[in-house]
Amino acid sequence: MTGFVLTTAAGHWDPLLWLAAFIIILAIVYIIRSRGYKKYKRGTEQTLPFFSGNLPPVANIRSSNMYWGFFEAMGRYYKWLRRAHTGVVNDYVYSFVMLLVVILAAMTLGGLL
Amino acid sequence: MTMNLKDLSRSLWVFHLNTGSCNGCDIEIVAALTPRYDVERFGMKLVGTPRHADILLVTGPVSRDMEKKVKRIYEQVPDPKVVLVVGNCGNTGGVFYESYNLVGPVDRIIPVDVYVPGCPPRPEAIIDGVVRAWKRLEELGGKK
Repeated sequence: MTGFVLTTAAGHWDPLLWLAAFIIILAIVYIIRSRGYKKYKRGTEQTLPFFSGNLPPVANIRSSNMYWGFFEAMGRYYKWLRRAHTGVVNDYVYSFVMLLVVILAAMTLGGLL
Repeated sequence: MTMNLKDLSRSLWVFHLNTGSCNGCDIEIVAALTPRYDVERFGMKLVGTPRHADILLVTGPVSRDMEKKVKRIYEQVPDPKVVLVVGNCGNTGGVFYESYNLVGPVDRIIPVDVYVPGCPPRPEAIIDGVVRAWKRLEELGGKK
């Protein structure tokens, strides 16, 4: 190690170089930002994100959440489905028996039994 | 019409909003942009968000469901802004006039600066409307 520079068998690390790079990047970001449009009125719709004229969603949607729109659109169905899936075996058996009754009734009425 | 376009220091960007149009006017707008008329050579282009636009170009008679969206999008365009309505439906309601499901025409919802009538208007008429909107923008102090 000489001065600030750390030299090892695995590599070379100079904090001053990192600092210089950080300052240069910061300067570039500042220049780009300062060239932006400054006349947007704060606190109005002009500073809110454009969401096709709709109100932007309250929570941010992660890009990895590919099925967000699907779940949002089918929300009522999933709500009902979740309520049905209680995790209690008795409920599942009850559903199974009820379905069986409906099928048998339909078959009887249809003359299949 | 005398023009003085020296004040506008950058190209004119337009946000196109369809409020329930049959797409006839929208096709003519595309025709104005594509090689036959090619207004993009003057730097005029459609942008994907009202926050980048100088002009709000509206087509369609404004169906009930679109009312709040039209207002919100108008408010999202930075000042100074100009509203250009293309087509009979947006101007007067057109064939949908006094329909139960309309809240338009457009000038009942937001202030309109330039009207381009026609069903649909030809690209020449749309370009003329855009030039008038450009002039109006200069009057409003369109220097960016």
